[in-house]
Amino acid sequence: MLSESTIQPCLVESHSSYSTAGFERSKLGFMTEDSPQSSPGQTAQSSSAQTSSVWLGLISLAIIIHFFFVFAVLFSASDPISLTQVRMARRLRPYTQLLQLNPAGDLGGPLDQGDLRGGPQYSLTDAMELDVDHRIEILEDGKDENLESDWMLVASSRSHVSERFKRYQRLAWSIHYLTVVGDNDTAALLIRGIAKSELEAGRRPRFIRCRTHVLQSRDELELGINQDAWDSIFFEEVYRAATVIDQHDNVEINKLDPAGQVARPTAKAGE
Amino acid sequence: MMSAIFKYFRDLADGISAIWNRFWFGTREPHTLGLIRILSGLLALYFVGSFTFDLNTWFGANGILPSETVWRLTGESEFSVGGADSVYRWSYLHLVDSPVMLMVVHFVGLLVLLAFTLGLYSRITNALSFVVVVSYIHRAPVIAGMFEPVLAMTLLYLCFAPTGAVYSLDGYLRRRRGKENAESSNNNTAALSANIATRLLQVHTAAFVLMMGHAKMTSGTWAAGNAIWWLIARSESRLVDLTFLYDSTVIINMMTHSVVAIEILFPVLIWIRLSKPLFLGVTFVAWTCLVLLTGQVAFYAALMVACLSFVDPARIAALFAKRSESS
Repeated sequence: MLSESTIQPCLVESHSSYSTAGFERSKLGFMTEDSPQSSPGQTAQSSSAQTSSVWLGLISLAIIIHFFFVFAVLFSASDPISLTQVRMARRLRPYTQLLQLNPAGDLGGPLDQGDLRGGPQYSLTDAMELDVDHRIEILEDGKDENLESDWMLVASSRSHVSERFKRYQRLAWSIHYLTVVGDNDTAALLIRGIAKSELEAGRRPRFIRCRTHVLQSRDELELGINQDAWDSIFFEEVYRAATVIDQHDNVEINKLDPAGQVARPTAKAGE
Repeated sequence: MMSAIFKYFRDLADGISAIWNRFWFGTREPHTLGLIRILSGLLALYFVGSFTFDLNTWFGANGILPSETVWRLTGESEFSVGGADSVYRWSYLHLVDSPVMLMVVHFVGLLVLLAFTLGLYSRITNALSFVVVVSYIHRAPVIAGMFEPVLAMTLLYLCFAPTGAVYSLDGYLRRRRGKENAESSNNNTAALSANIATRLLQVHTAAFVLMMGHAKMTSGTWAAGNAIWWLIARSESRLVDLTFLYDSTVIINMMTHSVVAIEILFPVLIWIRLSKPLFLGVTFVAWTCLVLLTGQVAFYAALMVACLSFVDPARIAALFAKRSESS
């Protein structure tokens, strides 16, 4: 096995060119402040040095391969990318995803279905497409769907800065995204999960909706109109479903079209 | 003529080889990595700990994301991966879905992370911490954000380093056992593995920041100079309300372009001795401003922790020495 004692004998450089206090400084001007305290090269000797150089070669090879994989997938994370990049990143994915080194999900366009696999924010960049605040709201049995105050924001009790709250925002983003790409069945699967977890918490949701919080316009602010960001005009419904819950707490989800009509059955418990 | 060409390529190879060896295979004190271990351990504790009250909600059989839903979303199946479009996301959390077992497994994970943060059996707990954190990310990739990839990357590279050599219970216990006195532990801990881990962390962090800058350059909102307004206008995420800047086009454009410029220049200027301290400072200030605008506290904290790998171990050691002297 590789151990530090195997390698280090050949790495002990003459420290005459380094300075003080246990932390040496290289005299090179470039890349120096955090340069290692010793460098390989001119040093030792003989068989242990040869053994070490084999290890160093193997480590170097591993580093090169590793970063080739990492760079190939990292720079496939934003559009536009070439077909070769897509193919290469797909081939390398078994390695990079195993180690969670690839924040990219799939490698198509920003609205490609596969993007969800790596989570919404794969390019580690804000203010991208669909990147507005999302929220999931439920309406319990017996409440009035036309009364905004009757709708309850899921996870509203949590701090908006916390990861606990942001996970619900990302879930809502995912539902919106699935709706945009036309995968209503998978969106309904997520909505059904929300309905079931609400049931577990003792609430019986009749409707579940996903809304985006539209950004305030600079032009409108300049004209002095629509200045309250929490006004209802700033919320846009992107998904609504009616939930049907039987006496055994099995949940069926029916997506509603914008007019409030049932679109088609999309997910049933036990599917 | 040919011999001159051969000589050129031989000199080139020798030069690159010398630079490569100097960069990767020196030794380095582990003080910076010790500090990064503590901070990334705290971030990992926060990440996993934030699931404590939602375990059943997310991962339970009647939760939002039972395993079957995740497999459907990711294109995997329970027993096989490897199809043309498969993904490879392992997680021990797929093995449990009962509330009691979830809680037991969760608290064992938290104990591992606590031990890692404190530097107890750090070689083992470091690798286990990576497994714990990645298992949570892979169990629910749909709700993963920008914070998780940075945290996982940091934990992975720390696995190669003697992070428990300093600022750790391991070090304290070693000293108590008399195997090592305080002086030697402070002055003779330089290691090859510490340098390799630091370099891996530095290169990957620089690549992340370059990717962020590249993504911004190719995005319409950033290229057009409006992205900062986009962030300002997100009423639910922002920590401060700067909407009074609505008529300050120049300020918004300048702020937007500055962020892009900083992230594009970072991977270059961070390696130059004279510009590094200044640029680290500028980057930290810019990211702190972005924290206020985006509310992405954990993500930018994880990035800043990863960027600490660029700080000289001597500075960290001096800082801690000063603090212990003054106390």
